[in-house]
Amino acid sequence: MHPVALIALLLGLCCVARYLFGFLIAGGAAVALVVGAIEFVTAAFAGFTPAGPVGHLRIDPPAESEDGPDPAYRSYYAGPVLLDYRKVLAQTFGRVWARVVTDRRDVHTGLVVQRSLVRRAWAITRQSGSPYWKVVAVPSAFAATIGLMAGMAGAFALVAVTSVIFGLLLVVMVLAALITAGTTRVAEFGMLYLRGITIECGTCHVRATRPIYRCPTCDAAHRRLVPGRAGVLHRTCRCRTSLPTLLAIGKAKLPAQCAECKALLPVKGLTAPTVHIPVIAGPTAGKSVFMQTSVTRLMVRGDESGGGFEFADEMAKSDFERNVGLGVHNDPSKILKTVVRRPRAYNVFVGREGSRARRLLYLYDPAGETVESVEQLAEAQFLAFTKGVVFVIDPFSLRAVRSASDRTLLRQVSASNTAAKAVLERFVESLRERLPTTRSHRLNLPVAVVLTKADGLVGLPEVGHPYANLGAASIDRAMRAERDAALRTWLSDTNDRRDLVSSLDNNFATVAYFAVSYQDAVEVSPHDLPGGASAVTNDDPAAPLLWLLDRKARR
Amino acid sequence: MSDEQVPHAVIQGRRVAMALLITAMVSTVLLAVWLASWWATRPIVF
Repeated sequence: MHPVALIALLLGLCCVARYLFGFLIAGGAAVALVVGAIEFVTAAFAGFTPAGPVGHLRIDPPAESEDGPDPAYRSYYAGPVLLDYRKVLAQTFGRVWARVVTDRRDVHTGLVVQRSLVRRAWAITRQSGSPYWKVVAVPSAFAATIGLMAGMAGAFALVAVTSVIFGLLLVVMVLAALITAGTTRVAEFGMLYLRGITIECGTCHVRATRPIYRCPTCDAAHRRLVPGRAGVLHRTCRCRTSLPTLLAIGKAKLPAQCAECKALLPVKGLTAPTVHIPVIAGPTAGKSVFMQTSVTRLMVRGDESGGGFEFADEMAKSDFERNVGLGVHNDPSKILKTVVRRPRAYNVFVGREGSRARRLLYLYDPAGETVESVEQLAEAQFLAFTKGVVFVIDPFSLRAVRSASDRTLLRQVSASNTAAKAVLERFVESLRERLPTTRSHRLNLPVAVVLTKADGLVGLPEVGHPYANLGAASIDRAMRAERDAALRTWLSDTNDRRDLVSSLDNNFATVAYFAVSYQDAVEVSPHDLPGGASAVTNDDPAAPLLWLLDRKARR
Repeated sequence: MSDEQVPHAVIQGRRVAMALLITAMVSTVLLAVWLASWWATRPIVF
């Protein structure tokens, strides 16, 4: 190159270089910035594609085990979201670096599929062999490279700032979810405590403090179905079914098991306070028939008044339906006899769903033989939870009634041979071992004394129906005090030893008396007395249970 | 677990995460614009 030309070129460059190189640096930076932004957005949409790959998230549920973690997927926000974002960042940095600095190569062949911007800038310097071109092109390529590198650094800085903001938003969201779940859980515990809601196993009679919940789809056992790493408000079971972690959002509707004996707990447990009521009587006193008719009446009343009734236990429902199928409402002798084994609770809900008056009733129907045996009563753990007692008396087990009845009638009503007083004494002994007493040494429990087979008394003028000759109270079931006093007097007069009523008064703080019949299972109607005398109406078979549930009646 | 069996919670989580990321991107752009305007309109002391 001629020295004069070189000097002229350099002088010219000095005049325009400031603008030329500035333009190249700014342009390079802008191009790299745009490339970085495009690659980041592309990688973000690819990385957070809803149904995208999940193999890298390591969220697979652990295998089901007796004491290990529950078979649930890890929550997306308990780590996997960061793994997805790490993939987004790795892809962004890799592709921006490849687009700006190094060439993009095919992963299999290693051949260059796209040349980088820096290489393209330097390639311009090789387009001509002229020394004049070199003098202009090399500084320009250098300036463009500086601009590209600065733009790439700027793009990375923007990605870094975005990542910090994204991280903060994630933290705020997870914290909000945790606070919500924590508050809801505390509120749930508080509500359960204030309303006295618990759940007990109807089979092993242990309070279930931590029930095992079963997935309704795959039956997997979830021992700790609470907000946690598997999910705050919901968790995903191994079968991909979403399970709620709080009672208020549906956990109560899941099938639950007792952690001790694995027996099924009542459906929708922990939604209403429980009331445990054993129905006590000797063999063939009419206990099972009373339970069937009282539950029928609860159901009918629930339908009529909208008060609400629901079976909380499939076994109770199938037992009830089987007895209905056998025609127990027309012929009580067809009822299935209670099996002599550890009593299992018969669970029903009484009261409208969602109302504060709703109660989960545990009706225990221990076989008459159980109550006759001190050893078997000693195993009746459910007595510890007892909130009231139904004491069933077969009037045909009383000597005066037996004397007035012929053999046909006694056989017809399946008269019990066991003395009610003896059954009461053994039962009271077991209760005193488990429950505290008042200052007067009485058990602070309400007892509903139920005289069954009242229909059989209608045809016995010698002893008479307890509610006969009561005037308006013979028919009007609302006149509870008169009917209660009449039945109490009838029992005292009819019993050969008057100490049954005294024993009830001495042992229990509250006692009420009811006369019921299987004939009133569907509708409670007056029964004509023989000889054209006035009619009597028995008590509603559900009345003893409802009286125990509200415990408003007092003697 | 195969990639075809994506749990619903992950699908929902990714949608929410994407929404958060877009919010973060927009916030970054707004922050950059605000910084640029603040720099451009800064008082010059001679």
